[in-house]
Amino acid sequence: MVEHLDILIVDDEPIVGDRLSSFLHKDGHRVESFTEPTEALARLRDKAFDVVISDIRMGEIDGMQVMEKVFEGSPRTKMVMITGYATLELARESLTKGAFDFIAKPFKLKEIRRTIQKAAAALGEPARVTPNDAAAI
Amino acid sequence: MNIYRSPMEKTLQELENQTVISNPRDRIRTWMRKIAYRVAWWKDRFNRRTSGGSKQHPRV
Repeated sequence: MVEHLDILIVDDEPIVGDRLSSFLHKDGHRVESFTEPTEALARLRDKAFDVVISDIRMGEIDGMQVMEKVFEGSPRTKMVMITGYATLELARESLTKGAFDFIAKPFKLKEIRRTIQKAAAALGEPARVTPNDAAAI
Repeated sequence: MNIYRSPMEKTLQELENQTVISNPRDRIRTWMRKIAYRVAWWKDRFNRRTSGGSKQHPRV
């Protein structure tokens, strides 16, 4: 299992990024946080991250677009979608498009830790998901 | 299992684990939307179980 991950966080609320990054940094992960999706996408062009945590509603560029760009550059990256506007349809859409997890705000930090641990375990395994898996939902 | 250097460290860690991340501008409505989402999630799960529907994404 991969222990220390490269994690990118993108959320337009600075406090969310600050809290998450300090918490995950303490767990030994290398974390970069952005409030501007355009800046996050520019960074993603330079570097492939193990995990990207993205808010969904962020103005001009939303989390779904971030996810598409992430997978274009790095299909192995685990996307964790967070949102304060959770619906079943949005959760289904996220997972169908390849998100690793979907977390509705408000959530506790320990939930993110659990998800990151699962992502680390999945990154250590050979890929098992095929496009047919998503199409079958 | 976590190893702590002092009881205080353990307490602080537990407090941090319980810290809630929300939408700072709209906490109450965000919380209400989550309740609605969880209710819909449980309802959908119940319907799938009773109708023997798709279990592709049991988390959703």
